Amino acid sequence: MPLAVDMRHIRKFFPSSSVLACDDVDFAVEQGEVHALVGENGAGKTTLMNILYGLVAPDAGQIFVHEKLSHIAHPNDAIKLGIGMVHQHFKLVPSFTIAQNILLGIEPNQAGFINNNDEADIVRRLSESFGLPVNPNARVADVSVGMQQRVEILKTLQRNAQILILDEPTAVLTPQEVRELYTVIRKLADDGRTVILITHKLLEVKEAADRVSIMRRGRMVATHSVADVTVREMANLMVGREVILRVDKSPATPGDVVLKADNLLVAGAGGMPAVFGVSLEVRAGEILGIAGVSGNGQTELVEAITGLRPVEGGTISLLGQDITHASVRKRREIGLAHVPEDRMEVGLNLKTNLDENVVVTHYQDDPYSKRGILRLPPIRKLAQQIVDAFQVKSARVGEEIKTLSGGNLQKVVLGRELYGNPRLLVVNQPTRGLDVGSIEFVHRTLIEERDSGAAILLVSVELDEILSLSDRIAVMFRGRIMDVLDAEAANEQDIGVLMAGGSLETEPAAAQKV
Amino acid sequence: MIEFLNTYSRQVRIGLMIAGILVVLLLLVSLPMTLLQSSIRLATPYVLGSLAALLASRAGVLNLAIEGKMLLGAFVAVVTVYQPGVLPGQGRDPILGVLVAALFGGGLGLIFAVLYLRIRINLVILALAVNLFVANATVFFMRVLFGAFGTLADPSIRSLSTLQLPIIHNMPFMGPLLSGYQIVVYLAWVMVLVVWVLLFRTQFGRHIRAVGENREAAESVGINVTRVQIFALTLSGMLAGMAGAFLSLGVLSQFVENMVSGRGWTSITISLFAFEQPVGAFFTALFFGLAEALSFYLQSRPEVNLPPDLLLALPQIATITALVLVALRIRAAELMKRRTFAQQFGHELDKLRRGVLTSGQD
Repeated sequence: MPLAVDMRHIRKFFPSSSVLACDDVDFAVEQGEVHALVGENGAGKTTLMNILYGLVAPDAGQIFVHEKLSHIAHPNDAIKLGIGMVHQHFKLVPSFTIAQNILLGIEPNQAGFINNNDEADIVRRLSESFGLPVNPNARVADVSVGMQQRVEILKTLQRNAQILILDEPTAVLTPQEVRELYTVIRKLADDGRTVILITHKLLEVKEAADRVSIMRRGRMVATHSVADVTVREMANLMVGREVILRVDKSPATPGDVVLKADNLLVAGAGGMPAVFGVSLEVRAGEILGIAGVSGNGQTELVEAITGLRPVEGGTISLLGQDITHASVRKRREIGLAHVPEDRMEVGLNLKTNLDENVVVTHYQDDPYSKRGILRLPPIRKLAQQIVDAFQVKSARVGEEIKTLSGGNLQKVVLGRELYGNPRLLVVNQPTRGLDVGSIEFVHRTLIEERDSGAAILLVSVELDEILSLSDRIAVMFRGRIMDVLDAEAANEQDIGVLMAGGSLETEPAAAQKV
Repeated sequence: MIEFLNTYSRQVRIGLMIAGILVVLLLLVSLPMTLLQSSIRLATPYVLGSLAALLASRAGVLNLAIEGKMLLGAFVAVVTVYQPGVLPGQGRDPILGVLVAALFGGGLGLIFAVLYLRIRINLVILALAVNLFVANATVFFMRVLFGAFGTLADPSIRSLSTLQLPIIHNMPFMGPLLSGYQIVVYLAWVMVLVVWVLLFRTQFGRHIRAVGENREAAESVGINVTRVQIFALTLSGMLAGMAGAFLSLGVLSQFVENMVSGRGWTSITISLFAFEQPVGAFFTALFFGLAEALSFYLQSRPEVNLPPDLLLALPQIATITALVLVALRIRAAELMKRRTFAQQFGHELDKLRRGVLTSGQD
């Protein structure tokens, strides 16, 4: 088979985040195949595809499209070469009809005036020729997410795309819609079109793809025929064998229930549930780890518990008090502390100084303010205490914090959140982007906090972190908790199966070697 | 309440529409003709101003400089027809003043767009700067160029001539209601139609709406977002300039310092209230014209025993009421969406739970 896409020695470095997203990556796709590109978040797969689509300029490398060297500087160049991309977040105009969205920018017109009936006819013909039924006159805002995705696919087909890139296409779909999508993808490939499927869901690869390429940390680690690899082999290639940071800890001595969530329902983007019927308990003196590939509802669950996102159904209680709809301040008064996923935007205010950042959770309490006026000496003292206790290097009282390293910023957050001995600590991705020393410090602090009787809910996409810190492990998949395992008995393989939506009792047929 | 709105949203909308029509009919029949006529006249700056506001926000730019652009239009229009020494009533045709005002308004809109889109000046600061600049520049030039303080007037300045519509003019009731206004009043009505056709029947209008609603969607299909926004802001400026010209030449035949006095801001409210629909904005503007006319009318009535300050504030009270209604509508829509979500998926969740329980018992 001739190659539809051949990317050679692609390199891309992002100076702003100093991430080497693509490190000498080779990627070849045959014409007429469904080729899955898998990897964890941040492995570089989306960057690679953005380069192919002209959204990101590579630092080095060559791209051959249909075996011709091509220069793709803008999505318009990609479209001209017959490349279409369906983004994870759809690029549709909600108040427009399906026909208007499909023909946006290429409206048939007479002297600038457009005719809605002509447009509907064109789209009807298009949808019939590909066997993708749509109602051209329905408003996009009124149709399901699956239908919106179909609109995006038709949009690329109307522009005569021969190579379709689908970025995480099943992330927002219901199981039935996923099934329909697979059928559509297969049909497109049978017609001689090439489909590239970006995903981190390995069961999907098994079901939908012919070949699979696996990326890890900016490198292409393997390309296989899907028939020749198992889900487990793919998972191992995707995660890689890494040094496991061992954390010394004594067995937990769980006390009373501190946090109890019952049958939670939380909305995500696009009107689909992000958390769908989650029930969990965290006891004093234990760490409950939540494992899962990112984007399976962990962030929304954390936001619901910490009061940053409204709860649509179910209840949350903290130390026996119902906090389902309580304000953030109320939750904190009862004993909640939160180390958020994004320390730069949510955890801290980098535009102000250390003092204001540490006092922000306690500024209304004695002695930090009296009758609505902040009192600086006690605030300075608090800042100094946190700097000393958490060894925040190069942080000075009263000075800006934006120049601190990620590790030191995280120490400031931890110091503030642990001040006042919280009863429940919710931590989300606590060591993302940190160096080894800081990771160790964060891990040690969490264990100490557990031993002094706090309940800790730890959310992380780093499986090693979950395994080494947690006392119990809950695995989340598509907004649900698949299973809760005892950390002693858990192993990486079992969790990997659950993370991919499998079950431990009966391994899905797709996961067995064909 | 929300549930009710949810189930019967279509019926509620139709009901509201019928109620609106009834209120309008009732007003038409019960109010004196002179009041209705001055309502329509006074609504004209609001009609043009709200079209200017909605055109910009349809393109995704909140145009807070309409006040300034209207004031510029008002000033330039008077300057154009200001010819001291010419016999009273023999000066230049005021229509020329309106056209020049539209040109200057458009020019200011273009400059505004370039400063915002190319040099990337903060939109709000830029708009406030434009408003303050025009307010002071008009006063300055009035003194320097014409030696006038506070008011620029001259006998040579004619006000806009009136137009008698054929056929309609001689009809009972309809004749006095619809015929005999200045030409800009009719121009404003035509512009409602023009803006509607532009937005909803042309390719360019569709691109404007796409840019305003989802910029990334427009960009991803190769629409030049900046160009679309520059065009929309220029046209918006032209409409605002015309609105200003009507204020100075249509009503008073003179320019008075800060004569727009908040009508630009009210126009933005009208556009919001009408959900950026040209026809909706037209009727909302008429309502604001009525509020303004009513405040003049009631003051001239000895039997009305209300404090004159309160009467003067009628248009402002109408503005605040409109803003509160806009906020409530948005809030109600959000609540409704959450409610639907909770119902739909809560139900699915229950079903799932029951399924698990029964299968466990088997």
